[in-house]
Amino acid sequence: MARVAVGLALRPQHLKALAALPRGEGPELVEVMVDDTVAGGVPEGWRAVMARWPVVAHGVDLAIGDAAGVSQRYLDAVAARLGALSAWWYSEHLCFRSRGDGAARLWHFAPLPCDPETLAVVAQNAARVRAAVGRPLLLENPSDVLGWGADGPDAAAALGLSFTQFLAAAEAGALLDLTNLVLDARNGGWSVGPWLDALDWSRVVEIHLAGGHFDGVLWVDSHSRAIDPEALDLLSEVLPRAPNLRAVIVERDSEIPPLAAMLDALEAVRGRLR
Amino acid sequence: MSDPRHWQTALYRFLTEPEYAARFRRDPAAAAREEGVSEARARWLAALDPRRVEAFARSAAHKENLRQTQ
Repeated sequence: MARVAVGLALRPQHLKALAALPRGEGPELVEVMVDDTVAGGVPEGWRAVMARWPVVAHGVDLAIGDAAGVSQRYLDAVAARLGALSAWWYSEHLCFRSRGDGAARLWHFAPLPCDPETLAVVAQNAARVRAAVGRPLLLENPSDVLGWGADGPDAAAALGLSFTQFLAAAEAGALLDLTNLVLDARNGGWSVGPWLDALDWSRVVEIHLAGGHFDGVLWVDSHSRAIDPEALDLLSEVLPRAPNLRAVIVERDSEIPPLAAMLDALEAVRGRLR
Repeated sequence: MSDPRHWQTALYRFLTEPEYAARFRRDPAAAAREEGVSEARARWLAALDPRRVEAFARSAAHKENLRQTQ
């Protein structure tokens, strides 16, 4: 396994504190949300941080499984932002979000059935994305509160195999979100083992860790808590299986704590890498 | 062979239009024919736990709120 960088999903609340860190402290790279943060260009306040640490880019608006296709205008905008960020790679979620005619969108990632027609849609869209952005494309396993394919004794293996087949169709690397996986397994009552056994580990380039919450019915990937302990434990298990892993990123989207707490989380991750 | 556009429209509408969802729950076979999706998928929709649909809506609202306030 090559050296793995431990990084932080960059949020505006942490910019000043990050810039004030002594050299050699803090994350080893930062992940920038390409859709929100740099719309219209890289804001001045972000430049000091981006100049100091390598950047990887993450998105939420692509919807690579949309049968209606992806907008070339959107791809061109993303490509320009990735260039401005000098991003190592671009990651997105394996999902669809649009109604079939493309005229309306969900605010959440909807699951894709792994059938030949949908694989073809993802392959076609991914080819356009790769051509537009000119850097590696990673796809993330999103959390699926609807539980598509989560029934039956072989659900975990089938879901893991589906993810692998979509990665192959897209010619993409994997952003393995261990928290999403743990929460889906918890909600579906299945074990993560067969899912992980079905994964093509040579494609895993990045890992996400975050914390969700139980909303009274299901676990939700709200990114509003510290790293889920089960996901952190799983990191230790999967590290030897991922020869091409380059980065582990800690995310927090709401109820964002001070930077010190995020740095503690990074240190916990580093403890698993040693 | 299934057209992904039909399935994505069906799931989108199922999640956002209560009357549309009710039609699938009442008679999934008829809804499958009318919407151009397989009966197996229509039956999956019909059996989908409403609590999961509600959780999806809450999660979507959470994500929308995050985006609007950032």
